[in-house]
Amino acid sequence: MPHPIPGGPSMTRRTALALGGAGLLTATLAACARGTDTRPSAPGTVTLNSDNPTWGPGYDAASDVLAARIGYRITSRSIASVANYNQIIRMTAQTNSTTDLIKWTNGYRLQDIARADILTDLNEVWDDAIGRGWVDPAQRASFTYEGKAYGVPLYKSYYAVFYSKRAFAENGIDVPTTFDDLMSAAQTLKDAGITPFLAPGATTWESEIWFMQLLASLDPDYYAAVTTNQASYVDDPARAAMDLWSTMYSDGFFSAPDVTSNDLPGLVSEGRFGMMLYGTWFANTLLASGLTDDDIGFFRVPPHASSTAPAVIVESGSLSVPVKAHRRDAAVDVARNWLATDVQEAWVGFLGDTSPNPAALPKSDLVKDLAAGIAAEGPTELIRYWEASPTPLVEGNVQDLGSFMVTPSKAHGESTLRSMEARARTEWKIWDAA
Amino acid sequence: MTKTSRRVLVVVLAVTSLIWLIPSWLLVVNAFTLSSEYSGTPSWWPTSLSLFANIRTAFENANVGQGMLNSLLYSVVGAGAAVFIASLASFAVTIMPLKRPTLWFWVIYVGTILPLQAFLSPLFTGYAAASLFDTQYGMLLVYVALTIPFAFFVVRGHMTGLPNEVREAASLDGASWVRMFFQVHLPLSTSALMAAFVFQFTWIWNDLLFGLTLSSSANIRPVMATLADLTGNYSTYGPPVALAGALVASLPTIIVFFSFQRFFARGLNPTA
Amino acid sequence: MTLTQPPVPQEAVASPDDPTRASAAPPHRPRRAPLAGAAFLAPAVALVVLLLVVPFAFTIYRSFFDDNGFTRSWVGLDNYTAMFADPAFGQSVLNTFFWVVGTLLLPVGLGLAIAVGTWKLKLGAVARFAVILPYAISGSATAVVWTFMLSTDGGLDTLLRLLGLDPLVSQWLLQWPLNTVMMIIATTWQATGACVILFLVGLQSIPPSTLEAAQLDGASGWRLFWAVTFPQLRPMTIVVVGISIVGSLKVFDQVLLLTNGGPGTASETLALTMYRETFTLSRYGSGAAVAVFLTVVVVAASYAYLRRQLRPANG
Repeated sequence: MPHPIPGGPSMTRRTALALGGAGLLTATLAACARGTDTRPSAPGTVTLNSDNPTWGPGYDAASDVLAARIGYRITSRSIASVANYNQIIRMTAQTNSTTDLIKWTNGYRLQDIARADILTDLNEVWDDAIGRGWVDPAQRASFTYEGKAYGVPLYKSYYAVFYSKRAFAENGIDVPTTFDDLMSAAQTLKDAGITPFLAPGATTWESEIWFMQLLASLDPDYYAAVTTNQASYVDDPARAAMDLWSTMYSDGFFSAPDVTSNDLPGLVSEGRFGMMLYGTWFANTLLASGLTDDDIGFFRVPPHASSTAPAVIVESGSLSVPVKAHRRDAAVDVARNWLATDVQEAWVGFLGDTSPNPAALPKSDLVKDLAAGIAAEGPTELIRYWEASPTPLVEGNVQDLGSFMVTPSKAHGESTLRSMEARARTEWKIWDAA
Repeated sequence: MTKTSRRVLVVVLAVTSLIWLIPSWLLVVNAFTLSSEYSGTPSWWPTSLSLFANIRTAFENANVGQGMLNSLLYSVVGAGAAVFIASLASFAVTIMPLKRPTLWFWVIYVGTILPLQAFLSPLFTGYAAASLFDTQYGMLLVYVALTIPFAFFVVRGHMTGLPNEVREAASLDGASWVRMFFQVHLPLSTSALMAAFVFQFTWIWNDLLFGLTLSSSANIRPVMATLADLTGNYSTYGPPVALAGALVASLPTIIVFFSFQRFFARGLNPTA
Repeated sequence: MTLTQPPVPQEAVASPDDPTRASAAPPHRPRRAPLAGAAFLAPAVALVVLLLVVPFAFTIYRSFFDDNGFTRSWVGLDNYTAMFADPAFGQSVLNTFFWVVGTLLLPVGLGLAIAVGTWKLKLGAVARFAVILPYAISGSATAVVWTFMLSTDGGLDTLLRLLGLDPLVSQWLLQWPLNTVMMIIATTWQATGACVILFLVGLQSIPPSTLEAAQLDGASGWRLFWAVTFPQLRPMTIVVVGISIVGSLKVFDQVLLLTNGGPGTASETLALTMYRETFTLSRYGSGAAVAVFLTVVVVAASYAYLRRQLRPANG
């Protein structure tokens, strides 16, 4: 019998068989390991799928109250990548490996999947909630498709300016009440060597933030019209907005467009933070990094002219129930009770944000005054651009806006609007045809 | 090699190494930074010694530890199985008398060519239908399938370099194909097998796309998918925590690389 | 694949006094063993075909439909015509081409240079460590570090200011084509390590006797490399170039994480276009069309390259 030919660590047949056998055994044992999350949920719980892993403790807090009310808890699972999450929901919601509840967006993105008849009609849940004063009836429209509501508000955030109290105090700036005040506040900060506005968005969805806010301050009715295909992107209000934006850039009011919002806590601790226009859900991050009421305040961007009605941009996610959910009735029950005041108080207590239920005030002081101001003044609520039009249109336009932020000249503003309008013509035709 | 040209070479290599190390240095230094002090500008010197605090945050909040155990299973078993299966196929294609070896080469090689995203969606649907979604067995299966083509390409490239004498010498005593494979070709291809294993171990360990899409429970998810929680859209932890997590998650691949390096650097005879 | 010399260490061939060889009969032909061949081949082929090729075939099928994940309607070649007519598609193709050229020049060229340069040096291990380390670091860590380096007022800008090179400060990731160039550099940082390892494997299989013989003939340094070492490395060079062509045509992760194809869609590559159509816009038909196009390009490029290098296996 020939001996193993030398020439390196010899792989005798025995070793090879041993390795192969071990591998096979391991693989077989591994086959027994199924995911803990994809098994049907334990009794007394409903599963929720979301794309935000950091909200787990919030669902737990809300579940404590829900368990007391209806005997059901929420176990949440998350898929960290937003793009993957979207695809997975689209795929699983058509099968019965879906979770009982899903987190989604409202507006046209909700309509997109509602059209496929995979979500449960929640009209009676809305009737119930409105009857009990748990939610603002005006929100219903953005959750509705062809007369049926397909989700309840999971959260409700406003777009407001986060400002550094220390920077304002040190430079003698008062909270602006008019648009001109805002511009001079920015100028003062700039003169003091602080970048006035932290404005991310070169390659992300955030490029829409200033676009939608400037439109809201200039002409809220136009914003509502252009996002529902009743106005053109090259009309005067849009051009005025892009001109204004371009001017603010040339005045040096904005940071470079490739900053990230996560820089904010560090900048605050270095005393180099001025302002940032963002969604109030971001308060959660600030709380987690240890910032308090003494560091950060909020105010809404005032209307551009005193004759314009005040408006504020709202972002609201949707809690929806797939038709093929295992525990569909329990999930609908959870949706029905989600807006209850005590559940919402537990929820926003964690989030630090405002609640869709006007009676549930945020525990965190950071947002409380803002919420109170909005409740008192009652501005027009406009839906965030991300959901305000069909998805492909918004995705393409947001990319154009990001490109504008990199080269914010007036000429580029004009060509950006033309590009957005061209896309709108194509995409609205496709949406209406489907 | 003359003395001057050798000196020049040494200097060039030293400068190259220095430049190459800069980003790695930044990575380590910023993993040490305290997360709440990070303000968007990277620091070039360690400003604080918060590495372990950052690591603990990463482990506690994103199940990185469990992810590493899962990834260890997938990488070792997956890469090992893939290299073994690939070497079987390489042997068949290069040594054994097959009718159309080039055809079979392309059938397997095409696996490296396909863009991953192209079949992600159908694969997911198939997995859901076959109840393989979110199972360790399912993850192993897809990782093995994904890593066979490259391992095949490397091992085959090596085996075609083996001379005919080797095969003839072994077939002289009437050795069967199996015996030839295990006793001749496999030992001779060790360096190629090791290289293929190291690459595929690294590939599987660093995979993010399939981990995110085909699994979701903590006891199935591989480590990069868990890290994605820290760097995702809604992350409340800044880059230092993500870097600390990524650093720890990179340790196994670094260890594997450098412990296997002796197989690559074997047989060096400095004869300068 | 033809070879000029047997690239196998001497001890691999049985020594003359090996008892099994002493009584050797004249070498007989290898037995036809189609079944054994099939058995060896089966696991690899089965796994690859079932898990990779079949789903891809489904993607090809899907490219002829207008598919949004819920409803599907036949559109024939419309997806393809729309794709070719889209100006963003032309931009993608251009970027992908940049990547191929850049990847062949940089990681492969540098990898070869470093492998050969450090092979015989004692301190070569340090250089190899520096170059191979990035390959072992995970992709997400790499993305975070390079975002540090290349964002406005990030690492690179600070370094340039420190060195007094202020005029060179730019928005590295925000201008096309500068961002594509910088991303290729970032990828080189990570990918060169892999090329170094593969070339080391190749170098290691060169029999020392060949090199000694050449050096005795008076060859050294550059001539030694060009006349002896490089030709001996041919099998491995083929592997490395083949892999690099495929990898650079499919480049995705780095572009997604560093610029997301931006600004706008200026730095998108074909894989990113496919991803955007499929995952962001949920237009599975269009995404499938791009995937099919990309695959055809990759297969054609690989085939064109490898066909010249590969001949039917010896035997």
